[in-house]
Amino acid sequence: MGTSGGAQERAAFEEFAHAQAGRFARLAYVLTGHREATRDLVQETLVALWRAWPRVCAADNPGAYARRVMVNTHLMQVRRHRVEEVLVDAPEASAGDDHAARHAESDAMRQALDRLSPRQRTVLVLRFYEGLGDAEIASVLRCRQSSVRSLATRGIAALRTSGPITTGRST
Amino acid sequence: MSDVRELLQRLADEAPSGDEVLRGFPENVYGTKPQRPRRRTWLPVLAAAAAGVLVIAGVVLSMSWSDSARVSSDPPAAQQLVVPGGMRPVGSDGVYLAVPTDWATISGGCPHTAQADSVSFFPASRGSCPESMPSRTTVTFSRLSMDNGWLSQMEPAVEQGGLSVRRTTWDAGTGDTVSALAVESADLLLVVVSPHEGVREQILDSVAAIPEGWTAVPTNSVGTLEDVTSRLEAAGLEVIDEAVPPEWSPDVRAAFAYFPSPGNVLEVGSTVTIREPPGGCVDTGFCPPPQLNVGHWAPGDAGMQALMTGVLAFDETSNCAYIARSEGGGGYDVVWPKGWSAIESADGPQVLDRDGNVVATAGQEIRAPGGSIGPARSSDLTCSVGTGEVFHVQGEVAVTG
Repeated sequence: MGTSGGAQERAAFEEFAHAQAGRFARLAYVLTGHREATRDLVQETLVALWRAWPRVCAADNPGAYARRVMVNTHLMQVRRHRVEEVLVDAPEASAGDDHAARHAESDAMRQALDRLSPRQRTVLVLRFYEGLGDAEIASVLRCRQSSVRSLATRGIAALRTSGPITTGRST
Repeated sequence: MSDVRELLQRLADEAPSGDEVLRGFPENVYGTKPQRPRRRTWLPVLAAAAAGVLVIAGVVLSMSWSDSARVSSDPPAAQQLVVPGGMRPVGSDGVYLAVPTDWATISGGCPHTAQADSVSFFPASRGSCPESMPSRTTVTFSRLSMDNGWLSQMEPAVEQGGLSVRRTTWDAGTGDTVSALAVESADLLLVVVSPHEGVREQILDSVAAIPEGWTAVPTNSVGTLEDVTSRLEAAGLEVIDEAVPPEWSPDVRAAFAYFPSPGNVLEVGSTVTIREPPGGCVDTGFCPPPQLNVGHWAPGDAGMQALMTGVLAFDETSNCAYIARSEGGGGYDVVWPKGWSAIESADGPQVLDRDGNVVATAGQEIRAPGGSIGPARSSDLTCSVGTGEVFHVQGEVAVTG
């Protein structure tokens, strides 16, 4: 098991984690929308990656492997926490109207994303933030491409209804 | 704000830094297990009980139940238990033992009717199966705590091979003797039917010899994702469901595949991956079938002529076909023409016309003539997604995207 790995394995794993930390943080944040949940998701992902470290190393694209683990860890967490937790990030101090406006817009944006189902949000993140095609998303989520399209369509429609997006299909 | 890409990019810009999310790393990865909110409080007791059970010194043997095909996302295989030559470990739900390698493993049915010497995890066999086949050895094992009514029938405990064992015996009616053995320290109940001398002692020796810190992957069963996760965790195993597609609703009762597969004996704390069955829910038969509403309108009848454009979708819970608006969100319940139907296909749920031709597949944008009327006027709805509006398709549907 990865957990019994030697010093060399640990060093390689830690180097990988540090190199990917910024990317992990950003992806986890767009998936969860909350700082505390982001930290938890990254840590859970790292635990899973360390357990599977030999296989991560052997993967053609360790970054893609890590993304898959993070996405599915996130969805597993969501399923386990069926009782919704209300996570509220404290707004940072603002210096004026521009900041206030930006924060108001950010809040509206975050709330609109929070209203999506976890699967809708994940599909939109993978398509529009990670830039994956439907086939890749279907592979990550182990679902049908038609399901990906359906989730994306409904997610976009919900964002339009909520107001944070105003343009077309964003493809 | 303009589009989804920009929306997400701006959100990502607010993310905590890499240093912030790595706070406590790497010690918290090497030193702790991930939090399991639903972990049962009696788990440590079970793990300790299981840990105190079996041991056998010898060679590593392969296990007959570990036949799952590996995929690129599999975690590394856990360390396997070392058992004496000529034997292999089997177990389920935290209890395990070793049996001769050539014994069959029975995963269901009545083990006493096996055509070869066999072992099974089958706690419900008592009283529901015919008597043993003559000249065969069958060993059934289960967690004693699952059916501790046995204890009241058993003689006082005696020491055997370092274990405190209670037993009862009776004639199987075929000339064989049936022995039920309870090892309370291991939470193990064994029912042994054998014409051969020494089998009971051989099994008990294997139980006594198992080292600490091992457990077994439970037998597979139908249940929700929550059910199977709980059962694996109750056996002292960590669960990754990275391969379970999120389309599985926790409410859907389904058969999941495990890797390592049921029967494998693993170290306590080993990781088991839950995976969608190879054929998906279509093959397992646990998908709710796609549904749609059909009305009385048929081609040739007079119909409404409004044009409606939207995306064909199926409700996640009811699998009811509806049309999601292309613009503005929301959607319509749909009453389709007479004779139309919905099926599950490899490409996803589809709507078929009365001749069986595919009209559209989930996710496709369609344009349909017809009209929208309030739900109060529609008596044709057999399924609904509760959008509050019903569109009656009364003409030829075109796929537009």
